[in-house]
Amino acid sequence: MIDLLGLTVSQASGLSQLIIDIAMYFGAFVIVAMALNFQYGNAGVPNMGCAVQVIAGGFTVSAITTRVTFMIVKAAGLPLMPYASDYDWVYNNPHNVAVVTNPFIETHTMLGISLLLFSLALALVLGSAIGYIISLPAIRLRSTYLMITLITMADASQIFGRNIPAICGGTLGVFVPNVFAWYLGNRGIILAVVTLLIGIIAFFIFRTMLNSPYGRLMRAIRENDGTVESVGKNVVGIRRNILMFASGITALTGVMWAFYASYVVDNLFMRADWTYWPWLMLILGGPGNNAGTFLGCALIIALRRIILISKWSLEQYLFFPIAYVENILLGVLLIAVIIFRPRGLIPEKLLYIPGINYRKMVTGEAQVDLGDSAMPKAETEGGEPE
Amino acid sequence: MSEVLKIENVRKYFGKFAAVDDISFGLKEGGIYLLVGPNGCGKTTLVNCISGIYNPEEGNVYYRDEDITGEAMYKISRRGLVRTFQIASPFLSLTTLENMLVAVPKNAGENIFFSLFKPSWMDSEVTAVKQASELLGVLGLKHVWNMPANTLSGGELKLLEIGRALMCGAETILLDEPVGSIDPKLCHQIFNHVLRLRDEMGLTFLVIEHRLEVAAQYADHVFAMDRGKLLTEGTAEEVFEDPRVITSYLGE
Ligand SMILES: Nc1ncnc2c1ncn2[C@@H]1O[C@H](COP(=O)(O)OP(=O)(O)O)[C@@H](O)[C@H]1O
Ligand SMILES: [Mg+2]
Repeated sequence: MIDLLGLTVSQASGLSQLIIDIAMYFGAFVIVAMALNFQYGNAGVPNMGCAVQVIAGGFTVSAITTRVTFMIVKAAGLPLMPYASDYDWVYNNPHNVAVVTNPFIETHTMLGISLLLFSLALALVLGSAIGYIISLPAIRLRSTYLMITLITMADASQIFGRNIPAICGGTLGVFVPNVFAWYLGNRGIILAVVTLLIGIIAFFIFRTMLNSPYGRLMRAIRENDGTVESVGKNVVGIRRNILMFASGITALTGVMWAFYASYVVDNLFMRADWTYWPWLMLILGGPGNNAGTFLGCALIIALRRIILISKWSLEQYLFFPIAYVENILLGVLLIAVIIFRPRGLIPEKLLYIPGINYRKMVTGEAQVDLGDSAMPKAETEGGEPE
Repeated sequence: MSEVLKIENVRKYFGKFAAVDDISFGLKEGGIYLLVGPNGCGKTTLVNCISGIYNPEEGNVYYRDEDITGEAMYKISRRGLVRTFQIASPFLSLTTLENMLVAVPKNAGENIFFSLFKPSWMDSEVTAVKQASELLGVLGLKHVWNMPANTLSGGELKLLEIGRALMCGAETILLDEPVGSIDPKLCHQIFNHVLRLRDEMGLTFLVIEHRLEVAAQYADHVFAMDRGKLLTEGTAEEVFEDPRVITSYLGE
């Protein structure tokens, strides 16, 4: 459904719109995939509930930002239709958002920007709270059971969204205010730029964390949590921090996606889109390093576009509905990657903590090659540090 | 000398089967203790009960006169009571040095937020590397400092197990079969390290071993277990001449 939306828009205004769309997709998915890399690729927490973390952001916008905006607009004296009851909230929503609120934001730039920042900050907090909740079973459960539990949680949160109209209007969904209404150019551009900007900041934060003793500790937990516990580290607490932080970051994608769609409905955040594709990106690119995550993300997004555009030419040959083509092809790709390149396109490298000359400190000899890295002498694991 | 570790009437059941059946003993500070017993007699289970992996159904474990029964493993470890694993459990994709560094207590860079500010953890990291490097020298692991643990030999992994325990500031170390499946020459090398660490740093060791002869000459005091029970204790000669111990190994 999301894709069809993207496609119709892009057909309407040509190539530049297609590029903007792809940039938006890349920005949104790379955040989720990087956060997943942080959780699974490095710390080994098999989070199959990425979708619930994204949903935390989406529902923040629909349930909270929208109401806060209405309150502000009302305080400014504009004639909003009632929105207190579930019925009014849903049925008066198009009028309240499109006719009253958006024109108001158009002339109030600071309000738009504040609402955006407010939504992001709140999503960070609520996303972390969701991370805390999903960390509770992580204490008791290991890999497979944890995965199943988290899939279920993501589905459950979608069901909550569908059945509690106050969150996002039930099956009908609700429009959310256009916080970029003040921007006169193409709205897609500013959305893509902001999303990519968040992605870049997140990238630097994740990279700094991974190239530090904390990154080392995360990998150690992934390799052998019992051993980490035996040297006096509270593994449960560390895992919880990781889940909370990654959830907060992932929720930012949900916020941007809600603004991008200008509309929130439960199946805007399908499990396939927000859990399986990020996993596929991670496994294809190679878990454990951000370069692989980028590559996987770019490849999958490109592939999905190509499938989307070219699948109609296959229609006459298919014996099943064309809607399944994408899932089938990507599923086959996943199986192929696991069989033929289990470590992904870019395998994980040894940890690299810049600025400390480990070699000199341990062996006493100055480093001849490679500056002051702690890389082995170009064995299988070698290569450029990220 | 006071008893640093004391266990009283510890029992651990798996279903109705008592893997550890009413065991009591005490370890004095600075001693090297040996716990022998045939395979499957409950040695590892006992270590698991002491180190916090299992909460024993009955009995108590005291460390430095504080009751630590059923405490989480990481808390017990922070007290200075650290165990190693019978099956070497390194972090396979980390290098030897990194394996050691993970064990450093209170490394400032291991905080999710402070990890972002390098100046805040640079000093503690450098101190840790120096300490690790020294220990690697003592254990003779320096030549593999930069090799991922999955490329180390069995003997090197056993040494790394000990190194990791030392790195986290252990004062009492439970070594679960530190020389299992290791050739005699390296066995003696490992036990000489243990002696040296005891003499130089005053550490207390409880060494688990299922073979009688290998570790005997290094132990101050020997405990013998069979089928979950403590058979006897004393010096190596006393224990090994005890007919019950011989029977437990050779059968009737
Ligand atoms: N988790 C477990 N569940 C059931 N039985 C166990 C478990 N762990 C150990 N046992 C049993 O307890 C007994 C003692 O095992 P263990 O402590 O590993 O012996 P040892 O270390 O002396 O060789 C064995 O009979 C073993 O089968
Ligand atoms: Mg054992």
